[in-house]
Amino acid sequence: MSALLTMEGISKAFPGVQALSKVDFEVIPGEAHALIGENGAGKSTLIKILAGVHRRDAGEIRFEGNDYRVANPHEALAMGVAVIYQELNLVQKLTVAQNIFLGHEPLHRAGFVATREMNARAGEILKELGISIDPRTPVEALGVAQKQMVEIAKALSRASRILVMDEPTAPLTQSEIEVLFRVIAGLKEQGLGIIYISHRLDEVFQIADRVTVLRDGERVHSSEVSETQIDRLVLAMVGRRLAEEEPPLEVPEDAPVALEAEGLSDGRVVQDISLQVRAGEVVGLAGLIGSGRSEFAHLLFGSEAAAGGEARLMGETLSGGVPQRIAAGLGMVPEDRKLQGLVMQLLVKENSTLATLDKYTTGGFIRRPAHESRVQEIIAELRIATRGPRQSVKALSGGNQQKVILSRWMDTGARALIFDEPTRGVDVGAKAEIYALIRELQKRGVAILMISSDLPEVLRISNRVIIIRNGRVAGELSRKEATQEKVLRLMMGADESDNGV
Amino acid sequence: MAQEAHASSEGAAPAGGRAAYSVLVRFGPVIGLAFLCLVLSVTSEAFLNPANLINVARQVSINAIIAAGMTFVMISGGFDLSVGSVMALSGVVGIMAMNAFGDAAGILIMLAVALSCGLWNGLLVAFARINAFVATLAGMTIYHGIALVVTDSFPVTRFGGWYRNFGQGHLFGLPIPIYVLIIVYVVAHIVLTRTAFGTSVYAVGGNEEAARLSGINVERIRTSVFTICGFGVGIASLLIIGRLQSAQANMGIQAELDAIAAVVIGGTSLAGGEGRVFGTLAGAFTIGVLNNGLNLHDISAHWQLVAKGVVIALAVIIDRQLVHRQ
Ligand SMILES: Nc1ncnc2c1ncn2[C@@H]1O[C@H](COP(=O)(O)OP(=O)(O)OP(=O)(O)O)[C@@H](O)[C@H]1O
Ligand SMILES: [Mg+2]
Repeated sequence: MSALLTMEGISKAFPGVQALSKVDFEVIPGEAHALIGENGAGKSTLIKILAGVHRRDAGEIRFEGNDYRVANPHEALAMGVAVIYQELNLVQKLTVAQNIFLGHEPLHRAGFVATREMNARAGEILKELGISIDPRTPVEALGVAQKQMVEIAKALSRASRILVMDEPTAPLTQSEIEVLFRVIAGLKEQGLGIIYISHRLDEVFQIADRVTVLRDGERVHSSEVSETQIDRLVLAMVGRRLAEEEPPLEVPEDAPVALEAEGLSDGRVVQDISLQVRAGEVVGLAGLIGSGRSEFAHLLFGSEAAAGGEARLMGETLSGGVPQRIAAGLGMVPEDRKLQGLVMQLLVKENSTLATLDKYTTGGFIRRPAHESRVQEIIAELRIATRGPRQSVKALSGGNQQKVILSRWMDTGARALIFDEPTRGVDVGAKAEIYALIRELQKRGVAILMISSDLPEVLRISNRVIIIRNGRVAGELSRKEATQEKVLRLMMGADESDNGV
Repeated sequence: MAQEAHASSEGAAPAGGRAAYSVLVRFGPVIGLAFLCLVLSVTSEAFLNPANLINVARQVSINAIIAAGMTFVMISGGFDLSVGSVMALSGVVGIMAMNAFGDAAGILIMLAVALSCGLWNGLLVAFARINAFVATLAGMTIYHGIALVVTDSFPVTRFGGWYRNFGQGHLFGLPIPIYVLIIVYVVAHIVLTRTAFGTSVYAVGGNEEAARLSGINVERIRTSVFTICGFGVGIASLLIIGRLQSAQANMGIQAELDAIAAVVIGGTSLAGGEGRVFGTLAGAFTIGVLNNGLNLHDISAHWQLVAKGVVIALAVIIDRQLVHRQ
């Protein structure tokens, strides 16, 4: 079949980095072409060129046989090329329906927005996606996963030729991912071309027909999915073999309880959650979207006020807000790196030490050499791909931004850390590094509570898994007992598990 | 490198053309000011006259000092409309207090009044969570009202006393206000770029949620920037009453507009999270030099208003274009 889109010899440089060099890429109608590679490999840059966000330095793009030149995302959308970006791009104050139809609102004859029609159509798209959100809800009231589904709905309402998805599943849990895959299969049948970026290689094998691997801005591999294996793709991505996975460290029998919640509730979602994490233990917190996992994390961390119950660290009751709890030895990596994690206007050095700035000050003044050399060490330790402490975080790839946020807690001397989706959008190599980091923290006796929607990950690194459903603890499984099926069954509620999960 | 906390790109040697851009963005306000001075020095003989330049600097110092505090507020994502009224209130209270208790005590009282007004604005914004625009709009009327009440709308005067040196004194041939201006800017710059507090101000303006989750006490930062702004207004007010030897409830009207204009021309983002005090200084001088130039050319005060508006719009347009190109 003739190609829908052909990109040839695409190159793009940013100050100090060659993000892409002479990359070829092609999509034919009705296929899903996966684009994979490590953090900073250039995946997002390639699709941003397609979408008119960045201008290419060199190369040709042909779309349905014609020369393709777009100056901005608006023109790309007009050609039928819609993109779901890696970072959420919703207008917080607008409603779900307004976001979905932003820029192409259905109009009355007089030129006013046909709100009722817009809400109805948004409702249909949402229903197709199997999500029950009222289209009139303001986006700011939604959780990250629901926002992601709104992004998907927004792109679906515009894609007529090509749909690009940059890590669409990162914030989603299993059941939404399945819905998304059904939608993708349907789009393929209609003859759309799909470009699919993901760090989860199993997904590539599930839905893609072809796969292209980028490394350091170059295309290093391209093949039919049916003719390759995971190992070969990983090797192509990282250029080296990864260390064997190690099982999580055993927690010593006599390890004291470090972090403890007793009957915590927020009067809305979280209902009476009690749990304990021992020093040096990793407890995985699994649950569906909306189950209250992140809300619970905020109660523990003091960034939301609890309506009942209490949190304890090393036996001491935690009171006060975030600053007091950080001082007491608690830390948290929030789930949304753009909205809750990074200050985009600031540099790497400030972002990575935002919680510990006081360590580098004398009488309020920052000791610059000490500060920068420590950040340099952190960069090396976590292998953050950046040109140095003074790079703006805006210019880092998604995975490296995540590492910057993680690095914030390396130095606080924390006794317990809450990680909310710590590996979201992080490549296989960096994931392994983050797991190694978690082991290191474990060895130091730090208690870790990890929320993750990536079930295999939860099972791999947790000593214990606690399952949350509807704001309550639905069950607890030790490492030996925990299997994907058991966890899923508890997440969904036992009765639903019978008709297939 | 001093302004690295918010440079929109790396400071360490990016490729040629881009380096030029980031220099343009960073020094844009200064370049604009230099251009304006160049034009004036060609078109008017009086402009480069040292006496004229010193005079411009002295006139600018009032607005520039207010604008320095405003820069703190605006980097943190806020706004202060009440500075003009704070200036009037602290000025009249200052004169009255000096008449009653002498210069030193009077000055302390006036600075305390200005600082308290700022503190109150800050508390409203940070803790009562009232939008900065509304909170300071209310403050603007309240402080002006109080100034009218305490003076019964008559001017208050104080002839004699060493406090006048703040407005009229000279040191090594330069007016005192210029020294005050320099001290204020050096301190403000150091606080913003070299202290943990300064970084927190940028963080709160750039992403309040991220700052909060990193343990930064957002309420305290917000309260502090308004308090700093109020204190700065107190200093500016002292320079004015020292010069006029009097104060009245209607002075300082529209001072907020000039201060905000200086900050905006200086490249500080209205959305918060970026900005530099030395940009603001260039902005304040741009306004002052522009007024002076139009005066030298005998252009009416009415046209000066128009010109100021045009410059504000141009500055923001150019700034946006450059940042966007990057
Ligand atoms: N706006 C920018 N300015 C400067 N450098 C940039 C910019 N955007 C991306 N880069 C750099 O280009 C390279 C490629 O980044 P890109 O975002 O395409 O990576 P990616 O493959 O999408 O990674 P990830 O999996 O982490 O999302 C990185 O080195 C990144 O730092
Ligand atoms: Mg990316």
